[in-house]
Amino acid sequence: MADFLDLIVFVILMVVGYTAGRMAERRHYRSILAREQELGGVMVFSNRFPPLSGVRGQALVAGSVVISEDYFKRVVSGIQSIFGGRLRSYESLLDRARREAVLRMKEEARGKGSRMIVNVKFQTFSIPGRNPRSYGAVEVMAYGTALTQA
Amino acid sequence: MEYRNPQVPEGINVSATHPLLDFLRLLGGLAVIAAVVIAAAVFLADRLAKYIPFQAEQEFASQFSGKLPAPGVVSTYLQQLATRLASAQGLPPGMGVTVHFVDEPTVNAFATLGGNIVVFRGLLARMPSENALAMVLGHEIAHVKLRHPVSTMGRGLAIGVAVATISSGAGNDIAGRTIGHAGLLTAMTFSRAQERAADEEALRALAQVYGHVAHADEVFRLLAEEAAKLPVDPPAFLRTHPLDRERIDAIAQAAQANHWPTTGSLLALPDDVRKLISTPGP
Repeated sequence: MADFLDLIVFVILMVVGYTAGRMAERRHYRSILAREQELGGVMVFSNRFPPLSGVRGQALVAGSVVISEDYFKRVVSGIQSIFGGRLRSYESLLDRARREAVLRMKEEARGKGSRMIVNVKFQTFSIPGRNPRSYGAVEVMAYGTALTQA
Repeated sequence: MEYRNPQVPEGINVSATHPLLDFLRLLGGLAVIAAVVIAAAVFLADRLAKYIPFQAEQEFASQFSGKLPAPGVVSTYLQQLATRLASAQGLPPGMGVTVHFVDEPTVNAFATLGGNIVVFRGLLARMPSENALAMVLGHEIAHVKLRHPVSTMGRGLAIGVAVATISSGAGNDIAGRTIGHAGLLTAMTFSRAQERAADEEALRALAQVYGHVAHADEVFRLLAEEAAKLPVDPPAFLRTHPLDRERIDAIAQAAQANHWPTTGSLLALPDDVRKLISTPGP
């Protein structure tokens, strides 16, 4: 009986995880694509030195996002780790996190009247640390120097 | 110089594969692993069980056989019958069976580790003759002789360990537990081949002790009726055994091949035993 209950709980978690995760992902991608168009005017460079002259001011800007896996992704990635290969279930998750972090950074830069961010870097941090039994969540942070022109 | 950040095309960092398709593919892989592990465990457990000394099995069983009820009139009778059948079956030296009687209405009997055989009142009360009862006991003694309980436990352990390793590798709690339970559940029963072998052994013993195999098939006919009465939850004895029709046919075939008479005089259960089992309670 307990086995049967476990199985039911497992199936419910899988279904909820899948549908909720899928819906959140679709909505997030729609929002990402729209805002990427909107913030296209703020350019991003990995160079350390500004590719222009006449800089009037600079400021540190950062965008940070914490993103968590859903139950379905977690099970799939767990099984995938037996066979190896591309962890497809996490690819979209991290893609969304990176792009969201850049968008938040760009929004901050635009608020400061900047149209250019240089020396952009990424940093990630695993929230549960190295505990394999814990949930999977990661912080992705993008930061750089926003320049304002004269 | 004019700078631009162009829109990067989609689908570079993300695979287009549908997540459910991905999941099904992985499940297929897991099924292959499970099939290989179970096949290996069954193969090894069947072949290695006979190398485990019976004494070790008994010592292991002693930790839980103390919980079984103390001997009484019924179990003394069952034990005497079992001893006669066991000597007819030629148990190897050092191996013996202990029969326990459980005063419960369950229609069941089973053999477990350490030569312990458990017979429930529900089954005993439905036995039309000693010959039919001897078929049940002979069947369970054969399981002990052929080392089925220990090979089943070995199979269950091997599967359990394999499942635990895989699921801890997958690093997932509930998923791993679910797979683990499923694996152990399938391992707790004797296989059909084991049941068939036990049936044959029991028939041989019956022919030797009584000179005929009458009422051997009666057991399965009775149990089939019993199962028909309880369509929701058939007794474990029925659920785990081969189909009764097949078994009755197999008994007829074996009797013909070995020239065992299928008719003969039947012995009744002793009066004191019958009185005790017809009324519930000790």
